[in-house]
Amino acid sequence: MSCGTCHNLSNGFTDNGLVFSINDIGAPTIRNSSPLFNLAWTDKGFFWDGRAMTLEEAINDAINNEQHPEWETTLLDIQADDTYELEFAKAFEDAKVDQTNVVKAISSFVRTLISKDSKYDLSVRGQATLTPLEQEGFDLVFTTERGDCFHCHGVYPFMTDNDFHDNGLQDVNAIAAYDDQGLGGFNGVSTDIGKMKAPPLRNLSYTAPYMHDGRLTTLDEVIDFYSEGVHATPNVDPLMKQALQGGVQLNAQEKAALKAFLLTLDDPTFISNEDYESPF
Amino acid sequence: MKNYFLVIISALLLSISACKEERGDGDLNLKYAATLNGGNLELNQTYLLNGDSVYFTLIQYYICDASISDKDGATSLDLKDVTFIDFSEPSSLDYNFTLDATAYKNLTYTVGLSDERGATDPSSYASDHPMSLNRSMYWLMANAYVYFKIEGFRIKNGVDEPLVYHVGMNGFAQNKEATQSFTINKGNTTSLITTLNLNEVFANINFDTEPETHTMNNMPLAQKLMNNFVNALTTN
Repeated sequence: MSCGTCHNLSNGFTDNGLVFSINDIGAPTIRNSSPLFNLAWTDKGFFWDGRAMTLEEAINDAINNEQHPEWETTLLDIQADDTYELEFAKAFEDAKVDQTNVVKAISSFVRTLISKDSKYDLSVRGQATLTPLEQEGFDLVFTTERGDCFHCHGVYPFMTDNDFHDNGLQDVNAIAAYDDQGLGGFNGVSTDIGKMKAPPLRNLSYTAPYMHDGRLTTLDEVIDFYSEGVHATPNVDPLMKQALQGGVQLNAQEKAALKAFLLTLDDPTFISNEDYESPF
Repeated sequence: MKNYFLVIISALLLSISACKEERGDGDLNLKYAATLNGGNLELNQTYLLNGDSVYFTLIQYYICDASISDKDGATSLDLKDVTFIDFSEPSSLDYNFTLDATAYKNLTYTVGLSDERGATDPSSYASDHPMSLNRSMYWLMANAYVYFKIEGFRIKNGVDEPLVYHVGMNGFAQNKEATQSFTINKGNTTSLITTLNLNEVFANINFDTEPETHTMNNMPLAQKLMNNFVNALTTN
C-alpha cells in the first residue's frame, strides 16, 4: 500500500468516504483520514493530536504506525522498484533510496498540494461573485454573535487556525471520560485532553465524513452539531461560548446559508489536478 | 614640532580605542511575566478575581517598536520591531540583546501594533513572523489585527462560563514608557521584567455583564480593557 491508499485525490486526499482507514495488516486506524492540502503552512503540529511537529515527522510516523511496522520493510519495497532508483538518482545528489530521501521526496510532494481556486478564493480575487445566500453564509461564519466559525476556521486562506480545540463534540463531563484524548493524550497536559486540530473548511464536499472519528457523515450533520449538538465538556474551548446552550442555535435559513457558503470553498481544480494524480 | 603633534594625536587615538575596549558589551534580557493576586499567573489555574472564581486558558499580546535611550535621553536605540507574547509559549517570554556596556533608561514600546503596522497585509509575512497569519491574530472582516487576547472561564454555580476578550484594531494601540535607568555592564546580563497584572487588567470589569468583547461588538468595553491593559504593564 501507499500513502495514496488512504489519501485519495478525488476525496481531497482523504480516504474514499471511510470513517477509519484500513492499515496494511487489515486493522482500522483510530482516527479519520485527514485531508492533505496547504500543509506547507502548518506550524502547530500535524495529525488530529499534533504529535508530529514537522511534515517529515508526520511521514515517518505514518509509515511506522499506519502502514508498515518498520522502515526496513518499506525501504525494501521501494528499493526493489527500478523506477524509484532512476527517479532518486535524478532528484538526489547522493542518489540513495534511503529513509531520509524517501521522507524528503514525500514531504516535498505534499508541500506542493495547494488548494486555492475555490469559488470563494475567486471572489476574493474579484473573479467571481457570491450569491446572496452564500454571502449570508459568509456573514454567519465571520460574525461573532452568530456562527462565529472564524475563530477556529477563519484564518484565510487556510480556513483553519491550525490550532487545537475541544469543540464540545464528545459527550463527556469528566476529564477521565474522554474516549479520545487528542492533543492531551499526546502531550500529557490535562487541559489539552479532548482537543483536536481544527481542520480546514476547504473541499468539504469531497472529504466526508467529518470530525476526528468520522462520526458526522454529512455537512448538514456538522451544521446541526454546531447549532444544537455542542456539549459543555470539561475542556471545551471558551470560543465555543454557546456550548452551554448546546450551540449557536441557527434557524433553517441560516443553516442553508452556512452550507451554501461552505460549498463555495470546494476547489474542483484541486481534485482534478493531473499533477497530483497517481502516475501508476 | 610635527613629531610632537603626531605623538599627541596617536596618544589620543589610543586612549579613545582603549576606552571603547574597556566599555565592551553586555546583555540586556527582557522578560515578560503575568501576575494575579500577587503571584505569578498560571494558565488553567483557578483564582478568585473580582469576587468570581476564574481561570485563564490563553493570554497573548503584541508590543512593537521597543527601544531604549542613552542615559541622557538624547539617543534612541531600537531593540525589536514586533514582539508577540504568548503565555503558553515560554520561548516568547524571554529576549536577549547585546549592547554597549553603559547606562541607559526609558524602555519604551507600543502596546499593540502601530497603525502603520496594523494596516499591513498579514499574508505578506513569513509563517514564523509574529504578525503572520499563523498567529491567528487577524480579523479578516475588519482588516485589522487583534492586539491582545485573554480567554478563560468564570465558574458560576459549578458551571464554566466562557470569558473571551479580543481587543484590537487601529487606533487602540498606546505607547508605554518605563522611565527607570539601568546599566549594562561588560560581560554581564541586566534583566528587565515587564509584568502584566491581571488584577489591573480586569479592574472594574464585571464578569456578569462584561464576559466578552471582540472590540467591534462592544467598543466601550474594548476601550476600557485596552486602557486597563496598558496600565497593568509595569517594568522592573
